[in-house]
Amino acid sequence: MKKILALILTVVLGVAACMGLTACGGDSDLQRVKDNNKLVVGVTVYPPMDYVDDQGEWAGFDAELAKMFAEELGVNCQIVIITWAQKVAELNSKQIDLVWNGMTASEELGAQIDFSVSYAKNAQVAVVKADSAITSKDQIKTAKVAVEAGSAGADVAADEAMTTVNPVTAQVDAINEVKAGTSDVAIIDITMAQSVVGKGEYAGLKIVEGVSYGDEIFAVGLRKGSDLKAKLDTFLKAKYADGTITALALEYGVGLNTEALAG
Amino acid sequence: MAYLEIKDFYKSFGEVEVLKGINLDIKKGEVVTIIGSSGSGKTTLLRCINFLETPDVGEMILDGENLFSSSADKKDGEKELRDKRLNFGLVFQSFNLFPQYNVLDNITLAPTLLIKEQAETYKKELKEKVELNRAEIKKAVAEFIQNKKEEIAKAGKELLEMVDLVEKEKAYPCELSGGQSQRVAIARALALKPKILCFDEPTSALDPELTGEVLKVIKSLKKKDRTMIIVTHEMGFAKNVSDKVVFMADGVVEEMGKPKEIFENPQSEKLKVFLSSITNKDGE
Amino acid sequence: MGEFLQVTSQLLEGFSTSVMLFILTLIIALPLGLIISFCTISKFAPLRIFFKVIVWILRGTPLMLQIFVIFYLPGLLNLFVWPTMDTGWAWFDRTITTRFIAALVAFSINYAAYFSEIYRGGIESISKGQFEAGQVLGMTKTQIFFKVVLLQVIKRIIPPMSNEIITLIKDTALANFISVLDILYWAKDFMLDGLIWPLFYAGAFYLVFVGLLTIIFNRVEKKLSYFRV
Repeated sequence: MKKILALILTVVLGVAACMGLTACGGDSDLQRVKDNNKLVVGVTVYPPMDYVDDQGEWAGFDAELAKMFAEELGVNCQIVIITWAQKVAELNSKQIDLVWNGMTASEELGAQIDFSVSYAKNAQVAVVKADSAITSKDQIKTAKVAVEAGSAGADVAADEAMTTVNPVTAQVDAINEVKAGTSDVAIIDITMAQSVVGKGEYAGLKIVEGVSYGDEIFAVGLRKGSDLKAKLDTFLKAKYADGTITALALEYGVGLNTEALAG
Repeated sequence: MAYLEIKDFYKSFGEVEVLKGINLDIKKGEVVTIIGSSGSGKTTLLRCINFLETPDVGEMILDGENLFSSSADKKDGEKELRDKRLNFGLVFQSFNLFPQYNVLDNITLAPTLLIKEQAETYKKELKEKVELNRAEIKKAVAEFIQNKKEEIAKAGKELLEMVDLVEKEKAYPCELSGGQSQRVAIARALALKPKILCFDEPTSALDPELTGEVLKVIKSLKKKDRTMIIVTHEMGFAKNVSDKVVFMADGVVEEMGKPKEIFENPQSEKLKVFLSSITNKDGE
Repeated sequence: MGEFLQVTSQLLEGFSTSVMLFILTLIIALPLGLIISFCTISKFAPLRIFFKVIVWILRGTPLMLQIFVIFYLPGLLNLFVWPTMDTGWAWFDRTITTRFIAALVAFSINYAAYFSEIYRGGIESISKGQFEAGQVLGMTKTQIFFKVVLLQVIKRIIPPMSNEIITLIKDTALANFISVLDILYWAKDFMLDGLIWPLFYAGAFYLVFVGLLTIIFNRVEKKLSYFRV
């Protein structure tokens, strides 16, 4: 029996020693990524930011940028699916190097991890007919409002205590309500609004100027104090400056945080 | 001249002293029955003889060979212990047949398991004695194993015949009556050709009408001059079959002698009380 | 129909991960549990106490927590990082990933602890007479265990074992806590698209699998019904 105990101890110590060898040396994330020759990016399936296309490849606004960033570092890009609730544990346990998944840079999260420069934003805006008299939040409160049921727009309607709300099944239906005159206002994502309102079929509509609800900014998440941040910020700004990010934003319909990227 | 000599066995379980200096001589071919009330230490003595328990103090000599000595410097290893155990066979009160094997396999299992070691020894001998190449040795060993297997199977069937259970060869223990089970257990113990066969209350777990068939088998073994030690409650049987009766009380051999002396002319008070209690019970 | 086929193939892929985790866990945990059970009935007190404490911890804390500890804690404490693999191995490609292996380690250890208690109960329920009969017939300890006791133990433990094994296939869903993409992960993924029925459909996969397991266990039980212990 003592022999068995000794054997078990040896195995445990041996395994611990072997694993110790693969342990990361210094604190430099940049060095780690280069040593491993790969950048591990944690995502969830979240179109249009990250999703798997018909060829089985990762696609989306965030995924494409992540691949470009890895290329710039000269390492492979590995995109892994994580459980959203565990993103901080994934980062801090070094299972992933970045969270790049249309992540809202909230104050609470900021206490745990670092953010890159914000590259995109989202907000709910009000869409009305071009000739509408509605110009303020107060007027919207009492108007007939169309929202997508279960969307951020519906949350806004509830938070603002709007009196007449028509829940519809899609954001596009909400705009159609306005177009058809059955509702006065549609509360939808700024990304969606910017890409369709005032063009083609929806030429007769406009976004109410100066009105937006629940502004969120998107950023890439990094470990606290990571030296990848400087590289990543420079990369994002450079890709904005050369027009790459703007082109991607158009392709995927993403609202850019132009002030932050230009700054 | 004693065949088996037991000298000064002492054994305690915790605070309880069960054997308090047992001395016993058994001659070759002798049938010894051990009687006594429960708690007198008879079963413990039998278990010590079979190396299921280790006496705290004592010595045991079989056929001139010292099998056990509490004063020995070194404790026996597993291998030595097994070899020594094989001098004895033990038939349990509750049979302890192996339920997943049929009757014949119960009998042949242990001898079959021994073949491997025997073959190793045989191989070693071959290598030392004769100039043979590896293939020849391999062939000889294979033959040796085959012969052994046949031998064991044949012996198994003969044993079944002896206990009159040939037709139950393929039956499983759960299909046997108590008496049949105990007869298989006897055959199983005999398959290893022990020098001394021990019985621990072989009929106590049986219905009264089934004890006869087991006792008959034991009697037939006596005719073949088997050395046997039998712990029993069957006084009639003890009287009938024994060459020597040992009466144990409170961990000591209280009285010992020919059946006639013990049953008809008991000397000690304890034996008298014991015998009268048995007679009273029989009278009920 | 296209949607149904898409859901089916995605759930099948997820379920193959679940089943792989199930099978590999059994392959490791069944013998490991036996070794642990020997340790918990050992006469050598330090060994016995050590393993009893281990079993207590493994049975006394949530499996989800153990998965977390095994996968994240080494990195959080800067001990080591589970090496991340670009893809899985060969045709397992999307199945045997680092996450899968971490989950496998957690499941194997946890289930070995449960199995060890079942084995222990089984071994201790075998009458002392069986061991002694083997001893007086000159068998070695190993021979007694494998030739005499083991099959009796197996017969005894099939009912509790089958219970535990059926629980295991359902427990594999806990692996998606560290993003092992099992069947329930994909079912939940479809829920994000507003499809609820794939969740029930996933339930049917489990149900069929457990049905098969039940048939297998009944067969084994029947096979061993020729003797009584």
